[in-house]
Amino acid sequence: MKRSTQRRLRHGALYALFVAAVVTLVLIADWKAIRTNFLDREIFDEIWPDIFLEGAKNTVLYTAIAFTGGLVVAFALALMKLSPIGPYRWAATVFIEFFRGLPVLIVIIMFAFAIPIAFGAALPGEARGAAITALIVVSAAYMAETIRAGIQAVPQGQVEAARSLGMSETRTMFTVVLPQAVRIIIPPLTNEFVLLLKDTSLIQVAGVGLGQKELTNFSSDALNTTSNATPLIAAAVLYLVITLPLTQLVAYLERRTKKAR
Amino acid sequence: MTAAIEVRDLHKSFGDNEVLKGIDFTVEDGQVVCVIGPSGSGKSTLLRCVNRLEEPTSGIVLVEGTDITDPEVDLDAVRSRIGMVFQSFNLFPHMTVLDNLTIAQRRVKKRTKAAAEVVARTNLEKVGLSEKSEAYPAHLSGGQQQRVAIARALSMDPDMMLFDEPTSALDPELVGDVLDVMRQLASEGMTMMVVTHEMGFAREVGDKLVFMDDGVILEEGAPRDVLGNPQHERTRAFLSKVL
Repeated sequence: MKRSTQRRLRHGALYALFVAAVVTLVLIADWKAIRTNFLDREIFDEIWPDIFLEGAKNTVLYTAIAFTGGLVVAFALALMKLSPIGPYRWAATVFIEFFRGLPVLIVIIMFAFAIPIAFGAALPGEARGAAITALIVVSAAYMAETIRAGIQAVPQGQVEAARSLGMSETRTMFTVVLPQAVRIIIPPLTNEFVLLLKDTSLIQVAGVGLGQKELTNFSSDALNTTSNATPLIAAAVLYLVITLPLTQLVAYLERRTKKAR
Repeated sequence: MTAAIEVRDLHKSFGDNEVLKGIDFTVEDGQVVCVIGPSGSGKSTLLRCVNRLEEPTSGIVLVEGTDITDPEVDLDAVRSRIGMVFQSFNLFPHMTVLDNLTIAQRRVKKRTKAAAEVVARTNLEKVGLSEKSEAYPAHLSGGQQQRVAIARALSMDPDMMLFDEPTSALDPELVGDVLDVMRQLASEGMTMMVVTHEMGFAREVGDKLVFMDDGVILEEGAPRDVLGNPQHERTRAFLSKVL
């Protein structure tokens, strides 16, 4: 047998295996049970549009607040890590290593319940505010390292060229280094954003008030009241509706940046 | 008259490694001084000490009479009067050619956008790249990038230009265009300090040639004399390898 024929047969076999697996799954699945348990129209009508107007809205809102806050703190931490002054570097390192080393859930519980006990005063925004603050702190710890790496990835020659033209250190940072660092750090930061978006589902352990549930909280409560998994499927679809365009956008930006370089 | 650049007893160490071991050196106004020597001889370090990209360990560096090693000196102001051209071009990759030429004019010299663009276009024309003003550096050849880098430095209206092996990173067929631009600059009377391996350029354009080896200046004088009749054994050995 010729080599090319062999290769074609091997590819054909792999395709056949894949199709067989899909067909088997479709055949053995209990479609009636799936439809009544996961895709119930009546149950869906019960939760729509609240799952969108409350759940999805709060997920996006909490993510936006935590990400923006995290970004600001992360930027400060990155500059501290690059500082020539020792105590700043050490403080940033301790902060980053501490919060990266803990499960997010523990940090949220710490902020929501331990701080009020220890200091006799709660963080602003009640338990929900404390939980979001915890997300800010944790995401900042992760993003700080990304930003620092991005700044350091800009070649030293760029700084030298800018300084030779008479630009000050600060001016050089903002006109020459950061714009180039941003291109490097946007893809990893988007990953952080997606991770953070999913981590907002942990806010519920702090306990939230009426109209403040995010997607997971909303759908798992709906799951309990309706004894049906349709709300969970709806939440899953909504999560993907938010995250997929984001990851696609980043892939596009990455391609475009490569072209411009 | 004060010299454009005057270096007195300059020492520079990186840790235990002494790279410059007492350099005395002047560039007069309007002079073209070429610095040659084997790699590791300290010639680039000397050049980089002139605008304090390297911090001298001891000694004095006077630029138009201003001691730039003085901690009180406004270094940014001094640097904006010294054009610097690097071996690796160091254009800003996220900006167009025109923005590369205008950014420092606008941010440091506080020129308006329109005024900066007029200066930029004049200098692009001078280096023969008028049609590339909207291009990004990545789309230019090495020789074109280096000519843009020269135009960028010129756009600050510098009193003098420092060149750090400006043609060493270029393909051989692209070297000529860059040297032509530098030759033209020299003929216009620009004060230039050039670290180079281009002996032809040094002989033809240089007013003075400095040979460095192992952190000291071994020989200096008219290029014709240094190249044609070297006094030191080390200079002869080096020249026999590169000529």
